[in-house]
Amino acid sequence: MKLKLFLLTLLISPNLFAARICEDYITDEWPDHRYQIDSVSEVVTDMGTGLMWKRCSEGLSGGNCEIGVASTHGIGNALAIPAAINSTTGFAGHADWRLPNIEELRSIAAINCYRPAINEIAFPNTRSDLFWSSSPINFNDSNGWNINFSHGTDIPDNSGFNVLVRLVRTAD
Amino acid sequence: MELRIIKYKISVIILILPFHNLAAANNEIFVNGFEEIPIPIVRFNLNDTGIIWAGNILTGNSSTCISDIAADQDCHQGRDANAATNSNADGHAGFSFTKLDINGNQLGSTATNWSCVQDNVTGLVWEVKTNAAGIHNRINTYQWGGITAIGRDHPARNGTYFDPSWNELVTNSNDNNFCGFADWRLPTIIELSSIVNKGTTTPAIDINYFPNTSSGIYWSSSPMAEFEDFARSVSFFLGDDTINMRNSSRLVRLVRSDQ
Repeated sequence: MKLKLFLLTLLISPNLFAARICEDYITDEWPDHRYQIDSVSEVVTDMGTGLMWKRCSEGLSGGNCEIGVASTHGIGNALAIPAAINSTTGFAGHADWRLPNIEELRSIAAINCYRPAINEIAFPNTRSDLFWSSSPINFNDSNGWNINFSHGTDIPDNSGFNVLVRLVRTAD
Repeated sequence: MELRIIKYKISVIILILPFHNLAAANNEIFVNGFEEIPIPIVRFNLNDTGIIWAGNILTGNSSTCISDIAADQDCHQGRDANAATNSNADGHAGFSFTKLDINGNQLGSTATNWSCVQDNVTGLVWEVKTNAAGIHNRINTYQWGGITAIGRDHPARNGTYFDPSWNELVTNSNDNNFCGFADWRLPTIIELSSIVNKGTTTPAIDINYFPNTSSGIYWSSSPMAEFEDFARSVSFFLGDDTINMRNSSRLVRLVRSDQ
């Protein structure tokens, strides 16, 4: 079954390197119709949580997040990114962007799939890698919480590590 | 001539079939005869994390929400940071819980005998574990895969779904209308993570509402997509989600919801 799905995914995928694999027997709580996409403004609204996300990881842009290189940051710099955007140009007409907390970031991890565990229509060109949350860690004070979008699991990471960033805001 | 037409029809069907399969791979039409009905998207609320203190750039946590990071972080945002929602009277910081008795009646926050907890943010109702002998006992452990495990009844399921697992706990809770409900099940990993208080550890939960919580590993109903011998769980020692072999015996906490 897995092999069959894998081969089918290869067949229907325009990009052989982005061969996300999904399992039909695991409930898909992250179907396309959950996400209201604005590809011009490069934002997507999650109709489940009411959160508006930047479709692209920081460093990327374009309707398919195909322009640029995904950038990685330590937690101090990662938290400064939305602050800088909000105090200057804003993004998509909004000036209340922030780093998601760990539960918000978990809400877009589509765990019926892996490599990457995310809806790629809503969030194109997402690396199967670590993303920062804004949540520090109680039991290790040099760590913060990440979600690994390879499988959608949370993981503590050293605050100095350079990790990917995706911004969120509470939709109106 | 007629035979030719039949042959033609068969070949058309054979030509169409692969496309049918492609649609199935997209989760749109049929999977092994199972009709995939699109899940209506219902608006729901996330819990905050319970973190009310700040971390520093490289090392050290503050006891307050002030640190050497100038920009806002977790403790500045959400229900935990909002004076209208962060009262500890109904659970730590942004959490808002209501105690229920075994018949589902709401109790005051100072009640000393309760069987379930209603989460007023997510709408989920949770089983409270007990010290008393029986199905709700706090140390009962189960292999993964019993009734309500995700994918258990799907013809294309992967890996082993163990029995008897937690079947007796789920079935008896429903038969007995535990806390007034008959739709008890295992929580998904997202649901189980929602009651983690990441502001604390050992256990990472509000023990004023969830007494008898072990700092151990609790199963979710969610399988691990890539590794069929594993399923997802939360360790309430630190509050992180973990993956565990399905054949290992772990704790559980039941949940029910209106949807």
